[in-house]
Amino acid sequence: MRLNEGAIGRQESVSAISLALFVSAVFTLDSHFAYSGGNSSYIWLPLSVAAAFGIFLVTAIAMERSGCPDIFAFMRYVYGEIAGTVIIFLLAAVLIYAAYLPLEVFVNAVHNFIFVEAQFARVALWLIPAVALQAFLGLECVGRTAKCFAYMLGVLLIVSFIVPARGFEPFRLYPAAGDGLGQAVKKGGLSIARVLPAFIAPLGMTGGMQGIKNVKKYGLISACIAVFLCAITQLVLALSYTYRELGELFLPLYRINMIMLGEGYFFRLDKISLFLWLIGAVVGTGFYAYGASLFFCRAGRVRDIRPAALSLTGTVFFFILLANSATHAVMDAIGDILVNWGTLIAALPLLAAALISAIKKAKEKRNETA
Amino acid sequence: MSFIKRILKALSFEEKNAEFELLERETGEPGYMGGWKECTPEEREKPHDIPRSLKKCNERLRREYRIDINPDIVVREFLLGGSIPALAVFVTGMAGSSMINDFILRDGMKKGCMERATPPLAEYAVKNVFTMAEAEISCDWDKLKIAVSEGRTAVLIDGEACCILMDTRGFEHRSVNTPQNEKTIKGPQEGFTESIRTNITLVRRLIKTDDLVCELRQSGGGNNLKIAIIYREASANQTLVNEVKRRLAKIDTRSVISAGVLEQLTEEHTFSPFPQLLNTERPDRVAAYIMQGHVAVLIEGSPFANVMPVTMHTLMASPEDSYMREPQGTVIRAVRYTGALISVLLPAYFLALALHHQGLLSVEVLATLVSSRKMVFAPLGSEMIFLLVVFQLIREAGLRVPGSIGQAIGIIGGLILGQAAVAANLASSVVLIIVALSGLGNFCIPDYSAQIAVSYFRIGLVIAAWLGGFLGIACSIVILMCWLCSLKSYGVPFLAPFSPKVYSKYPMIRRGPVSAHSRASDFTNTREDTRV
Repeated sequence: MRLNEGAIGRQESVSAISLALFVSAVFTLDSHFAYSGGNSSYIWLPLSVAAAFGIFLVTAIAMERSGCPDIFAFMRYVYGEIAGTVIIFLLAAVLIYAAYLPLEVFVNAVHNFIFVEAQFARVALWLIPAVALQAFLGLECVGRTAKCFAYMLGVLLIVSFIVPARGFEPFRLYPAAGDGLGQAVKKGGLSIARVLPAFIAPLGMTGGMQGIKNVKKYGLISACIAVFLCAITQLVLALSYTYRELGELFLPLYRINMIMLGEGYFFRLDKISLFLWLIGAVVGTGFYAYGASLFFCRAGRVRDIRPAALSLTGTVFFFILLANSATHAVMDAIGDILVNWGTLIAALPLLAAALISAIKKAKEKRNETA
Repeated sequence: MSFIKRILKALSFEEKNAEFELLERETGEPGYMGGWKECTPEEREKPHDIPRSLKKCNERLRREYRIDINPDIVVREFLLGGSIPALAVFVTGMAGSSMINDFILRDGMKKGCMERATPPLAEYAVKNVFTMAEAEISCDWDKLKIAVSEGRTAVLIDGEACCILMDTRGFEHRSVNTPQNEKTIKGPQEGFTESIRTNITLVRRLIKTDDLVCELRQSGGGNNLKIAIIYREASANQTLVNEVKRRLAKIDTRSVISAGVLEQLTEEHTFSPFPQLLNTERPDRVAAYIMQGHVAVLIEGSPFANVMPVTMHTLMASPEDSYMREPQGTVIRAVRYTGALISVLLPAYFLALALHHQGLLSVEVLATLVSSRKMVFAPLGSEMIFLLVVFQLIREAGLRVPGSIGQAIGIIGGLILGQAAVAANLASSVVLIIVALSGLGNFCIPDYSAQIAVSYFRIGLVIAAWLGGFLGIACSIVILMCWLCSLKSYGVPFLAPFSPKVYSKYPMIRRGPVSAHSRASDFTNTREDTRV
């Protein structure tokens, strides 16, 4: 078996999961969907991360109780051989889509903000080798790379909060709860689909992350970090722009420095921040790409992850090109389905599996006592 | 078909390789001694026992050593104790003739010295006749030949199926001198020499513990050089020691000449630009790493030791760091890391700014850049690569020529050539400064192999920046980091102790107090380290 799982520790695991969570939560957020009716994203986005963590925790506890070492064994235990394999393939597809989303956003950003004259495919082509190499080299590489860049991105985030601080205005928080509690709950619920893949992937990486108990621990730490960072990032955005302005902005966390700094020496450094965030997105995507390859290999009982890693990264590249070609309707349709039903598609198999395993376990106990 | 054959014949494809024919002798065995891996299976299965008959031994020695054309191999016949026929075999120049004369031939030829001898005669002779400090009895023919090749003297006695091997090594070698490439101001001024015995002694002088093990064995190359595996038995991780031994045992090549060849034959990623073990000529450095639980390998004929495992921070550390005060050591390290960063990133960063992101430059900088490049005909990217290549040329030329001329080449290359290039509009002064700064940063890296690796990355990043601006740099940096993160040296991740985080943070940028160095690095996982 050459699944390149290796062994990584707490810091590497937490860095990889938190980075993937943050990138998926903050950068893939559709501004129109999130802010157009009033901005309460600083409440519902962290809550959606917390809810995704809840689903992860329920699944992880069910896995632990059933004695399954990873999600692959767990799915097969709960749903049987064939249905379990199908669901693992479905989760692999979810991870591929999770890899596609941030990459597509950043390819668009680089194309629209920096290389306007360049062909879209050429911009995308730069990112693919970096993602493919991570998925190819395996979990150790993904985790360690994430840790190496996590500190740099942390400093960048703090700078992004400090620089526009003089322009913060509390009145921009109006209306206080956005466009109502119902809308906030709905948006939060739909956003779970965006962040849940970052919790699904570690359930398959229990070997590399040294057991389900440790994965649970890493998930909790990552969720805490992501909840805090998402809340503070969205609050900073809310204090910097009104919800009407935010609704029109693409990649507001990058634009925040550009707009708020005005003329000055640091004004020119905003583009560098885009490329630093791009590095974060590439590393986060590498985590998803490796996760998707691992799920694919374990579902198909493939013994070498490397061909799968290359081909699935190629698939992500194909999706990016498709989404920005004349036939983008296909990707739009998939996107619409996932925005509306993504949470159900990703969460239902996990929650149902947890429930079924609990019933199965209870039945087994009853049989034993009988 | 015949047409194809004719074409092949015309193109000399069917002719035998001339080089191969040169190696073949009339009997079919290889034309050099000791290359048992190259010889025929029959030759390989020849008996390794020493014949009892002295005549047969003499004939075999003369045949195998080709004494008819090898005048420096001496087979000296004499009568042991004036009555027992014996042979002394040695290589002139490798063995000290005065030692052979005084302690083997003179003692051995004394009449009556073997009068009370009872078989086995060899054992009696060792105990009562030869006044040599190091003498052993061997019954292995191959061992005899290796010993003779090393400069020892073998004495064969008629009727004995064994020989006496005595240490008479007396060849010339360079004396202990100042290290040429790793100079320090405050540290010891001793460097390794080409003699493995001297090198072992230099290490032993610094580690006076009973658990220091120095295993001597053949290198595995056809030239039968000796290698020494040095470690502290009570401390070094046994798995690491076994892995080192396993990799050394796997070597099967025509020749292993120096520590550099040995490094390539034992490392995991042969194509990695970064070295995966430390190549040092300083005994104090080797001793410090052995005390930390590392393993060192010395090879005969090389003034370098290979230390394993290493991390990136080991390659960035200089022996000087430990001899200076903590703040000084830390600041110097910080300067070194900054230099390395400048070396890798500055040319690419400048190129990306100037070619793709001019908006990030102020008007003044842009004006300076444009005015300096006004008459330069080459595109900025090719100008940068041209100057980087010129810098490598100067550096290589300066290294390969003798000391004073090398310095002159540096000055001529750096000042005169640079000035001339700017005057001739071949390069702009701004780009020249950028390249010079990055070159200066490169010299901050203490390890020569790491310096070369960084210069590769620099050119790679320049090309990426030329083609893709910051996008190219960002993607290249991720790729570079991925490579570094996946690299391992004898199972130890290359970026330890940063990633994975382990206890020993001190080999990183902060040097830390010397008292904190009392504990071995976590990543070597030593036996003595029981604290969590």
